[in-house]
Amino acid sequence: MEDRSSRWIIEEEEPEVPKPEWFDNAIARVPESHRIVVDDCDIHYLRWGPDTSEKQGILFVHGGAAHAHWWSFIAPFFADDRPVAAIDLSGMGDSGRREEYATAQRVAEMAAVSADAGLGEKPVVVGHSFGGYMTMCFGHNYGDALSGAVIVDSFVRPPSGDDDGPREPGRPKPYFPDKNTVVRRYRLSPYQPCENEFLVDYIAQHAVVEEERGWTWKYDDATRHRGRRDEPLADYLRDMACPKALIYGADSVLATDDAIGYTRERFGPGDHFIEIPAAGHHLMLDQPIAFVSCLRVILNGWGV
Amino acid sequence: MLARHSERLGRLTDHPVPAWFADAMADAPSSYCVDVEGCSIHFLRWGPPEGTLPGILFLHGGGAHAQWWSFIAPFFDNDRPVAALDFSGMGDSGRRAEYGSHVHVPEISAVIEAAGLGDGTIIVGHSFGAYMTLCHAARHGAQLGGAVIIDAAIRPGTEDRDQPRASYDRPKRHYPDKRAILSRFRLAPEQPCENHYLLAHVAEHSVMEEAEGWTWKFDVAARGAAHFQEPLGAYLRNMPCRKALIYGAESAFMTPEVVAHMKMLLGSNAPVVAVPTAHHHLTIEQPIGFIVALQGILAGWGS
Repeated sequence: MEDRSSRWIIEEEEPEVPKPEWFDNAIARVPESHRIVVDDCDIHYLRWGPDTSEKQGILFVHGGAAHAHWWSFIAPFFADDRPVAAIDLSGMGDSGRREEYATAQRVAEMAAVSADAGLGEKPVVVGHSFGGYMTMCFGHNYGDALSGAVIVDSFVRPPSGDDDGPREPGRPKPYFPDKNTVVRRYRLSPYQPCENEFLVDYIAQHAVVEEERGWTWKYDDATRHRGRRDEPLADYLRDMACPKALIYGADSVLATDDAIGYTRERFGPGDHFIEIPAAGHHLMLDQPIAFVSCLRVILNGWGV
Repeated sequence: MLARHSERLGRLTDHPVPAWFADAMADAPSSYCVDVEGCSIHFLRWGPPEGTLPGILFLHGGGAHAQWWSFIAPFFDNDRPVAALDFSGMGDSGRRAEYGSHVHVPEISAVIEAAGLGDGTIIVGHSFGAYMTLCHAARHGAQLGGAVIIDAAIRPGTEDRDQPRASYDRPKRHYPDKRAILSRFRLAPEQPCENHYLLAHVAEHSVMEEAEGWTWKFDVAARGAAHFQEPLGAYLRNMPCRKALIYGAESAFMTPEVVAHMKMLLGSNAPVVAVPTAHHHLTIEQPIGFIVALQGILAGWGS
């Protein structure tokens, strides 16, 4: 006989977000978790793939207030025959915090992870959003030592652009009574719809931490206020010593005609500059399979 | 001589469609026919009358038709003419007594000419269409800008020629109404596909009404194995234009042995891209992944 009295308990549970098989297979390839110290700060990174390889490795760099697990369902597609790492930049994910965050330190963190993870003589760096700007800075400093830099939905703007002013400090981080509540409050920033709820749910699960006052976001508020704005990114991008490519979402709120036009001028005619249809700023969430395909074509074109 | 049908291309509306598909389909092609050796060959054409980039010709698989490309082509037609043909015996083209690469290659040449795709046309062929791409490139490759092979296996040795696949000889069934036949539409080989709106779209254009009822457009005789007599491996290796391979990472045809063999034939400079999670019909299963892979290859070629 059916036990009707227990039904309310079942409904209390969080409904399971449906996930495709490819995602389960990718996540089943659990990365190693490593920590190193860079400039007195504990830097955490994830690593997939063989210990050594003749093929150059890949370093993935997340966006602002994000974390290494944004790449956990992407990296395994590249890790069959090469080492792949994803960094938590300082003040984000599971890395330590600093008094102040500066671009030079982020570049040092990326270089240190690249070396510690054994990504090879000339790795490829792939950076999304804020991580794309850090990749431009990294490429400026270490371009000679890279096989290529892939910028994902980060655009450069003319120096007089409105965006050059300092950002308003954000609201202080809120605290929530339990994990489910904070995970449910997770929103992509800049906000966009995303049909792949299982991916948003996955990155949200890894974006939260329990502190004394309750559950909150992992990122340090101080990381949100400064960083790249004082760097001549457009010049870095144009003058980068390694091959470069840009992937952007056709529906990205950042991909205005002006931004695309100005950024494209920094690329040569043979450089990949690829629009992913039906994708917003967070395009590896919207179109993960297309993103992987696109990155495969780029690596292929570079002979990496 | 071109005969223009200005029919507006219909599609099924009982499956929800994403915005990208609706936007792509709003870029409706013009429909033309050109006579090739006594047979009317139908093709679709998108894009400007003349492009700043070389044109693209899309070639469908066996038993398929040009409308397999109508949600793909609009992503490529900003600066160039794009066409997709119906091979004789398939889609809305006429029928012949006999089919094979000896007629399909002239059909390809005629559509490149009639659609004004220009010098350096890039041919993109899926499955059977990829084999026809190789046959065309073996004869006319010097005039092509590139050839992109989509999930078409070339096996080591002469296995394909020694053991040609049996012709498709099941007689076509007739169904009492359109709904009944559309419910029978299947991808061959069978594979998973969650994009029901795309299956509905290609199914809609795969059927026609005859006196005995509704049936498939393709001529059973056109589904033979004529191309397996061609030395396709040598064609791929010796192709005088740029070449690339896109395949479904889960395709039943593209075994590690086949991929390794084809990489050897393609040479080290040719892009080879596996679209993750996709099977043989990757254009239907992962359309965005396919579009992006093709755009990346064209960008790498500077075209």
